[in-house]
Amino acid sequence: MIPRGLLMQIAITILSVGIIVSYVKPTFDLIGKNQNQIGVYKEELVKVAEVNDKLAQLSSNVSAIDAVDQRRLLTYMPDIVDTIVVPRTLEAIAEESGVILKNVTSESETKKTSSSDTVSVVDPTIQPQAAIFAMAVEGSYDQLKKLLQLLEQNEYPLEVTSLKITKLDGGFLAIDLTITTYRRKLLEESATINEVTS
Amino acid sequence: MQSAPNTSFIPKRGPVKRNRQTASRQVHLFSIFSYLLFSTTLVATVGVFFYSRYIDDIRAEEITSLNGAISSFDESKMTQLLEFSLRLKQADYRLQNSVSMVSIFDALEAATVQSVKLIDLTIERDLDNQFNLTANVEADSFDSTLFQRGVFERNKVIESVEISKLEIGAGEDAPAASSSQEPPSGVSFVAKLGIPVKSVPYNPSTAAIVIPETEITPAADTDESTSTAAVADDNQNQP
Repeated sequence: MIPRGLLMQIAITILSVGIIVSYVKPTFDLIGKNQNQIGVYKEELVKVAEVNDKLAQLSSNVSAIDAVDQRRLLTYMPDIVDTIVVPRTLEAIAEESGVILKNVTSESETKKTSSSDTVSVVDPTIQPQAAIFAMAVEGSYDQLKKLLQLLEQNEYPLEVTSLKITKLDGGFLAIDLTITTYRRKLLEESATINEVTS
Repeated sequence: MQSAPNTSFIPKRGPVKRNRQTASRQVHLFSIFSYLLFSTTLVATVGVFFYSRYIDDIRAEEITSLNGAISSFDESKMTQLLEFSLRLKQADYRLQNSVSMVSIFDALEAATVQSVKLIDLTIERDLDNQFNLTANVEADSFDSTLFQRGVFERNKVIESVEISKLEIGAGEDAPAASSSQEPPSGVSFVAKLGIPVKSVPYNPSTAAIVIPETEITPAADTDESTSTAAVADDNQNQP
C-alpha cells in the first residue's frame, strides 16, 4: 500500500510538471517572441526616425535653393509644354538670327527619332517627355548657324533632332528643322513605366 | 501473568522490528525533490506571469512609439521631394546630352576640301547616340573625292564615313561640259557621316561667341573659307 505522503508527493510533482508544460513553457516562449518583436520594433523605429530626419533635412535643402534657380529649373524642365509659347520663342529666335520663318507646327509628343529606340540602356524614369515641333526657315548659311546657336542658348531645351538643308536660288538655303523640347515626366508616369518595364 | 525468567546466558533477540532505513531515505529524497520542484514551479509561474506582463507593456509602448513615428511621416512632403528629384534628374539628363549643332557645322567646314561642294545636307539625331549626316556632294574629280574621303576619315569629330552612289558627270556643271564635247569630269556622291553626340557637347562658355554676319553664300563658303579650315585641320592631323 502506498503511503499518503508519497501519493501527495507524486501528485505535487505531476502538478508541477503540468504547470510547467501548460503555462510556464508557453508563456516563456511568448516572452521570447515578444522580446524579438520589441527588437524589430526598435530597429524599425530607428529606421523611421532616420527617414523622417532625412526627409526634414532634404526638405530644408530644397527650401534653401535660391528662388531664381528654382524658377530656372522650372523653366528648363516645365510640367507642361505650352504649344503657343514654344512657337513664339522659335519665331523670336528666327527673327533675331535673321532667317525668314516659313512655318512652325506642333507635332505629337511621343514621336521617336530613330529606329534605335527599340534598344535603350537609359533608365526610362530619367528621360523627360519629349514634345516635337517642326520649323521651316530660309536664310543664308551664317544665319542658319546663328539660328542654331540661339536655339542652343535658349533657357529651355530646343534640340534640333533633324535638319534638312536644300539650296535655293540666289545662294539662300531652305532649312527644315525638327525641334524637340521637353517637359517633366510625372511621378505617376514614371511609376507606370517602371511597372511596364519590370 | 509473569514473564519467563531470563536464565540463559545467550542473549535472545527480542521481537524488535527492523527499521526500513533505505526506504524511508528514498521517500525523503523524493519529497525534497517534489517540494523543491513545486516551489520552483510556483516561483517560476509568478515570475513568468509578471515578466510577461512587463514585456507586454514594453511591446505596447514600442508599438505606440512606432505608430507615432510613422504617423509623423509627411507623405506630401515626400512626394514633393520625389517630384523635385525627378525633375532635377531629367533636367540633368538632358543637360548631359545637350549638343552643339554649330560644332557639327564647324566640323563639317573643317572637313570639307576646297574642290568639293555640298549640294544638300540632312542631319538626323539618333536619340542620344549620334548624328547621322547625309550629304549630296559634288567634286571636280576622283582625286578630290579620294582626298575628301581621307579628310573625313581623319577628322576627330566624325566617327564613321560612308561614300556611296558615286556618279561621274552627274554634277551641276555636267550638262555644260557635255555640250562642249569635253569628257565629263565632275563626280557626285552621297556621303554618310556619323558624329557621336558625345563628340559635340554643348559648351556654354563658348556659346557666347557671336558669329559675324557676312554675305558669303553657303556654296562660296564651302568652296573658299572652309577649305582653309579644312587644310589647316588636315595639317594639324599630320603626325
